[in-house]
Amino acid sequence: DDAEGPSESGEIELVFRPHPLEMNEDNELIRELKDSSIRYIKTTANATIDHLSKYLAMRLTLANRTGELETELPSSLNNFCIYIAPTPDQYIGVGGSLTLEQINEKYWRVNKPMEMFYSWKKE
Amino acid sequence: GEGRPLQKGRPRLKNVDRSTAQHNAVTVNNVTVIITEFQPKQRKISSGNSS
Repeated sequence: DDAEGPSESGEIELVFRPHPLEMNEDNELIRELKDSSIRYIKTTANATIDHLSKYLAMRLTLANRTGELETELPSSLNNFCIYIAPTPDQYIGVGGSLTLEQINEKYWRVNKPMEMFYSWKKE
Repeated sequence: GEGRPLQKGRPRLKNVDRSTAQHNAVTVNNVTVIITEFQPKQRKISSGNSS
């Protein structure tokens, strides 16, 4: 079903994309993931950036173990950096302890699902 | 006045297939949340001709 009406007030829906500059198609993993690198997520407003990072790490690890993803993953997936872009081309890194509600209130001033970006630091 | 409209809920994702929802529990610092992930809707390519 398409989006009809607002979600429950305790939930937040967001699009999670690779950082367009730090995670472009020069990155082998992003090339392999292709459209799967973009994730459409719903969770509770009290979820933190650390929850999102851990979830992403879980999904990538699972895909790697099942053979769905062949590219070798970084030895540590604990170095995710999460960003939000209040305006186009302005990427602000957000701390792991912030909740999605806090980020939404502080940075997201448009009436559409939040868009967040991820990258990870090279070792 | 102008500003963000007062609304009870937040905007929802569009063009996702909610029947594909996958739910995963994620725990950080003893706080567990459920993260639901959807797949995008597959675009149907219409090859019919209309005149």
